[in-house]
Amino acid sequence: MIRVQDLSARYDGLAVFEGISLTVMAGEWVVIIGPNGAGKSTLLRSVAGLADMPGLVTIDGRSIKDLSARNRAQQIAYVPQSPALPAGMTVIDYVLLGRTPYLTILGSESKHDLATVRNTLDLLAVNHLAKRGVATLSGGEAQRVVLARAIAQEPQILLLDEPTSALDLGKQQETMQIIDDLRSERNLTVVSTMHDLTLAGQFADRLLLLNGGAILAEGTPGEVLTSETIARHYGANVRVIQDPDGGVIVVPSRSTARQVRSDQAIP
Amino acid sequence: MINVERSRVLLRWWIIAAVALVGTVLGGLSIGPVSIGVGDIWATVTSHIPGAADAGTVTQAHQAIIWDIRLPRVLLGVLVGGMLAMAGAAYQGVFRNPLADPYLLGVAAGAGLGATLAIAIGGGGSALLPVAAFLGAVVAATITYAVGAAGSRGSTVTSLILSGVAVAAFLTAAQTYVQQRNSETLREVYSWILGRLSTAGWSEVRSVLPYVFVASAVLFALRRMLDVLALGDEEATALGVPVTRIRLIIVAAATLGTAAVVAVSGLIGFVGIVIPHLLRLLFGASYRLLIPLSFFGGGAFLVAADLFARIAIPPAELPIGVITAFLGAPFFALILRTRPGVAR
Repeated sequence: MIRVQDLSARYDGLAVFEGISLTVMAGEWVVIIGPNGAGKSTLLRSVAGLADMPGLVTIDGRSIKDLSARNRAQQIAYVPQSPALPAGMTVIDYVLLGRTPYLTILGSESKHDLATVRNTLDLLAVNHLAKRGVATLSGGEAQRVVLARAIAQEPQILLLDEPTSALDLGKQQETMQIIDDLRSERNLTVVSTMHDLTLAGQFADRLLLLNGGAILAEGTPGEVLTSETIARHYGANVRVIQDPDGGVIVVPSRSTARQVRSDQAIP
Repeated sequence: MINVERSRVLLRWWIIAAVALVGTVLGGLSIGPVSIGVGDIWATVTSHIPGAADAGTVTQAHQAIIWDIRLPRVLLGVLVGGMLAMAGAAYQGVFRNPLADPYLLGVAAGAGLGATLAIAIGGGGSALLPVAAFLGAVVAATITYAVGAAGSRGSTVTSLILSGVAVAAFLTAAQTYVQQRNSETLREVYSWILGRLSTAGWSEVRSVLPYVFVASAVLFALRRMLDVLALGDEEATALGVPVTRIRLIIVAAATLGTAAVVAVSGLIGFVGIVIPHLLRLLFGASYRLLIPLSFFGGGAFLVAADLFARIAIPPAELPIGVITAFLGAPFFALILRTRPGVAR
């Protein structure tokens, strides 16, 4: 269970968010939504222990500041929006880096580490890519390989910053499904940020809307994704349609968007 | 399955690297104004192992040429070339910059100033030269690190590189000034800057060996960390790695090793930047493999370049810094052109 209490973040002296509190239950998938610059990534990085911000972040009751870096990395895997894919590094070497938290600084991988990586490559169906260079992969392949590195870390918590932003529609759905399968298989707790609200709504247990330095809406996709809320916080005009299969579909609508812009132009 | 394949691939590169190094070393020992056979080399070298048989039929002259002249020079070539290439690979990894070379943090400029001062004060062939060059290099790198790491957001890679540019510019200006004021030192300083592998017996090898041993041992031990650092500071931190500390240790080891070899051999260019890239192009390797291979490759390359420098226009010797680039650049260009798939 992740608990964030009274977390604040500043960037160049400006408050990004202030006094945020939230709880994520074990095995839950929470998606943080919000417009650009709302601090979604900063919030994620704070939970990962990468940004030292005032406030308390606890994992199963222990503050992440009390955990050693290695210990923290054994529990939390973090995937940034654009992970580095070093030229010349093969997929197998890249995924092996996920074992770093279990090795000493001078150590090299044991048989167990190699076996873990092999299983992870199987799990994510990227075994055939093992000898390819990570820099030569397509967007979809790269996203799987990056996830494989995170899973090789054997974390309890997976933090994903915009996991689908660089992917086509099919690969977006595929990636989200992979994450969801991993979650149920490994009982992972997942926190991700996302821009695609429909996709977020289809997979998240809960959505958190971050804007103006605070969490302004929180709840199931059906509760958070209303046309009023989205209009207010994204400045976007959308229709929210009930999906007959359950969930909601957020459809941007162009004519009203124009309308609003011309309205705003008039003083 | 992957496990087995991995080790088999690794073994192949190790064998190629070892063969290249042993081959060039043997070439360096046997080729020269006097050609000496491999058998004589073997007998001479083994005769110096305590308790072994004496050199048998090998003439005193050949023994002296091998043991007192060629072997120290060849070994110095291995140590200098290996250290420069390995340090270059480490710098490129730590700074995530393909243009990084061992002289990045002002090491060359600092060593140059130290050497010029030693020549100006102590005269040609000054015994002070290596010490002054070594101190100059270490002081320059220390200032660079202190300035670059003093920024408000810690030691970012870019601030370190920029700090190196500033320190190098300052020290080069100082070096040029000292050189102009003592124009009689010009020739000597110039020869040092071009680099040379001239030895007087074993003293150079002895003075460099401890530094190269420690520096390359540290870099070898941390080779896996260089792969982690290749992911960038944030992802490396998320994997539980103390990035700033590891970077400092790697930079310190690479700088110390570089300073030690620069002190005896001058500023031999090209090896530190191109050998790691050459190996990357050939093997597409991660640092796990690149760090040790760079030592082998750099050592083999410099011994070969030195051999060419000795035999190209006998009895004169070409400056080795000229040879490394003159031979190395076209070869590198060829590899770059013919392996487009890996040149990304």
